[in-house]
Amino acid sequence: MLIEFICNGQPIEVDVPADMRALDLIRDELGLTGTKCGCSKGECGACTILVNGLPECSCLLLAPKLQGRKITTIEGLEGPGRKLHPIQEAFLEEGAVQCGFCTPGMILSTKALLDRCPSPTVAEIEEGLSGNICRCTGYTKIVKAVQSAALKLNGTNL
Amino acid sequence: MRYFQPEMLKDLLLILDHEDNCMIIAGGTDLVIYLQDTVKKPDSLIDVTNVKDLIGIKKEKSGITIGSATTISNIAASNILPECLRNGAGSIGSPQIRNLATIGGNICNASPCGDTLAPLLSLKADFLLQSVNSERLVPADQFFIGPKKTVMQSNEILSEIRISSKYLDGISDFKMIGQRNGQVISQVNLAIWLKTVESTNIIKEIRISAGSVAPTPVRITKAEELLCNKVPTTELILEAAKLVQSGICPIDDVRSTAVYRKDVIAGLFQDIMTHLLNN
Repeated sequence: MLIEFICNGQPIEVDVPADMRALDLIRDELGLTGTKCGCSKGECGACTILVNGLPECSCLLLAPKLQGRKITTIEGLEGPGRKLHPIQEAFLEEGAVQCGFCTPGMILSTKALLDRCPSPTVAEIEEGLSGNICRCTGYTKIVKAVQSAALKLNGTNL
Repeated sequence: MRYFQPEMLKDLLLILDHEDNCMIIAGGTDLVIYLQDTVKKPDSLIDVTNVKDLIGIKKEKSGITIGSATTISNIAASNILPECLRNGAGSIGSPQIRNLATIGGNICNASPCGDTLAPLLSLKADFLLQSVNSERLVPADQFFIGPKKTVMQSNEILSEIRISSKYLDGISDFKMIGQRNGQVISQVNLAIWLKTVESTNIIKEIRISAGSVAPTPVRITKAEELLCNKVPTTELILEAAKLVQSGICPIDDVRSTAVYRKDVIAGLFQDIMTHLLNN
């Protein structure tokens, strides 16, 4: 079936099988491999994308459901001139990235959290990232990176 | 495979009536995993999440009506819904799953561990089932007939969940035990709704329901009967906790053991009762 949606600001028109996952469309058809395929069961959060601003598991989302929606993948966070987003900068500065596999999902969950809640408490950060599993860092540096990103973004907005 | 995305309820019901070997998809958080793994794929999928009449939470004089395609996130965030239902919804999966999953999907999937099911039993919810030429209202406690089995016919959809105003006037809570806080499936869950006689601690009416402890979510009526018309002292709550334990028939499975489930449900019961009566 033919679907139309906006991906990272670009209009997309593509023919997809009814049971294709958004994850496979994004990675294999659109070539946006920043979205990772981890567990394929909605448990690890590595495939997180934003759909109309909300985080969703693209492994549990059928591609036809993207019809008329706006999605953001990790590639859509970069600013002009490939400038990193403040959340990406914060993750690098705080050493919140080790193997990096969970990072795109972590960053998009962080984006959704900070859009909704610009100065989250640690408990709110833990809740906001509860659908993203990291097997390397132990989360401490990830939580610090979210706090640092919040400061950066709030500073920018003042 | 064909994919239908109707926007009108009447179109949805017509498609459902015409299509053979079809499946209804709401959020798809369970179905998409099934579709990846199965060789028995349906000929068509009918998506209910674009039907506006099936989305939203409406409060009227007679009670609250919840559209079946309302997301679990929106249930968890609604300040007009009773605490037990909000907390049950909030304990499902992760933010990413709650943004996709729907209350209708949680109900119709009829997993014994669905975290909105015990709250809906305790709130005496009714489910409106509609087909192209009929509709019927089924009480929540008559809807589930086994694991993944309900009374729904193949040409019916669950369109609305109704909670009468009587059960909005009272206090309630939900707690579950899982292996961690986020992203977890209940090993045991318990929802209690109660109403006390005005300006006293005497329990006028109480409804206790549990999930993950039997083939379907269950009411624990013996404990309800014990507590009704009494002041719930510590001793009485302990006595009722024993009836809660004997009112369930859990199994050993991948998530937990029957013995553990029987043990912790007593603690969950005492926690919820203490919380409700102290607030």
